[in-house]
Amino acid sequence: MAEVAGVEVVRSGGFAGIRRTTRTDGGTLSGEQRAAIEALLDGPVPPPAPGADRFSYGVTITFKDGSTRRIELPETAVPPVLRDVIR
Amino acid sequence: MTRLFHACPFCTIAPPHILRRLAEAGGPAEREAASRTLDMTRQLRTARMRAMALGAPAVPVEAALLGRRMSGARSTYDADHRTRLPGRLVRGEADGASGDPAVDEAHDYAGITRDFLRQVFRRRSLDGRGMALASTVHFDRDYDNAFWDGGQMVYGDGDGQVFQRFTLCLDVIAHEFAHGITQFTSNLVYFEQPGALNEHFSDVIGCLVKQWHLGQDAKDADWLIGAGLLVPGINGNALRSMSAPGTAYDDPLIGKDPQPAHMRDLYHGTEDQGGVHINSGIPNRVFWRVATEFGGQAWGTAGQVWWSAFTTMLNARASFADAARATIAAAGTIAGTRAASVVRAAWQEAGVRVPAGARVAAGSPAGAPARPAATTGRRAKAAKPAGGRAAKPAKRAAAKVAKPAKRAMGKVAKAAKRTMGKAAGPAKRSMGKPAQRAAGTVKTAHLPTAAKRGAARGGKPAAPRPTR
Ligand SMILES: [Zn+2]
Repeated sequence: MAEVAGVEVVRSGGFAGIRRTTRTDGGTLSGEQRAAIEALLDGPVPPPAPGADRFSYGVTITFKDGSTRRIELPETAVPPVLRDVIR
Repeated sequence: MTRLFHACPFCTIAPPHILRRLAEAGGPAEREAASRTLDMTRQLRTARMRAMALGAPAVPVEAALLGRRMSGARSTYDADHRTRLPGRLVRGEADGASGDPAVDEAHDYAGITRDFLRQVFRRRSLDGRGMALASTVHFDRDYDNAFWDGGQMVYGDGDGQVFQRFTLCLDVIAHEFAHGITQFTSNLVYFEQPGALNEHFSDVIGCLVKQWHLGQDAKDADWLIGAGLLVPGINGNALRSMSAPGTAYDDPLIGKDPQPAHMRDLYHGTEDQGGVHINSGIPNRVFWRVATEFGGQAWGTAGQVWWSAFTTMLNARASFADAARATIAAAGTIAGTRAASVVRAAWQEAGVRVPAGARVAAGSPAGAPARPAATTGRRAKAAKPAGGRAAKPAKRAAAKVAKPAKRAMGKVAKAAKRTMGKAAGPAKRSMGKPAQRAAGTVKTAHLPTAAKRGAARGGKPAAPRPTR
């Protein structure tokens, strides 16, 4: 996998239903965070969060070769190590 | 059919002084039991709570008795800014104020919501069987949200930049509470239109509880959800408006309220579970329209119609059109054909097409959308409480529906009755006469729902514990 250039996260849902976009520069990611992103991209589609009013995350990862990958994650599937990135 | 309720919508099932006395009997053992219970997986926990509520011997006798008598006993926890649930128990049912505003708001507003449901809709807690109520405050750091995790209510403190603490608003707490009720009744799938209906029902209950608490008529209410939750300086007065969806806020920091009020503006994207908090604006406005057309208190006829439709007539994948059909039929049963026309007109005004085939006589079984027959009996019963002028035709219509439903219930309901009867044994014996009557009433009233749940959810795996 090419190196991660950046991560864009669109948070939606939650009680308020307010949309929020945050961006993280690939250069600021730790090795652990890169590994966690790769694991998310290779892993199975996570199950939806139980209950109601949780946040939903649309995560777009841009690589240095210009390619992109997009995944959808419920709040309950965000690995602890990525909580500063996917928030 | 036995007469289950008398018609006054404001009488509690058990006299308040008895409930109060029983609540005071709650000791640390009961709270400890509740805390242990909450540590288990959702499925286990729910089963355990139910067992507790029914007086099964898995928990200390006092706890069992309290759970049985004190419907919906509250336990309020502090997550200490972490994400582990439920956290540290800080206030039990019988405890006085803790001094922490978040704890006390979560606790007190859960109590108001519980009382509203018991008095207005005769609902005993979330599951209809007096399930214990758990709430956690101070979840995570700067957490801009409140949610229902499938077994309890959870509140963040807000970041202080956009949001204040989420326990500030009674309607927010009632909204989360209602997600629990939906889970135990229609179980509307949290995605696209059924998800928006799930959100809508929570907003309706949020508004009704607030208006009931304030003693407001529909025409005097603000119909806002989360009024005062945004910090001063953000351009907005609430998170949603049921009377004017899309107008609650407009601020450079958080954008503009995206809610549509009409089907032509329906959101089709994938965000927010397919727009569950966005498209709820459409049915929200329909409810506002109906409640203000009916006049008086929104929790009266309008509330009874919506309650009946949403807790007994919708299946888990219901669309807006299904909700329209159900509420039109419920209005016909509860309040007559003129009321049904008001509801129909409100949905049509929002661009929700109600097929011509759905035009049926008030209360006839064909008026309900396709769904398990076992729930029809409960619908008929739910229709009864609507008091006043409308009661007579409703009663006749309800009786008409009840018969075939009773037959259809058959085996499932009988099995449920057997199980419940067994579990309720010890608690029943130890109770006084009024309590016994009340317990019997509720148990019978919720049989069809229990049967439906059993049939619809058999073997469904336990949801994973959200730890984030
Ligand atoms: Zn909600």
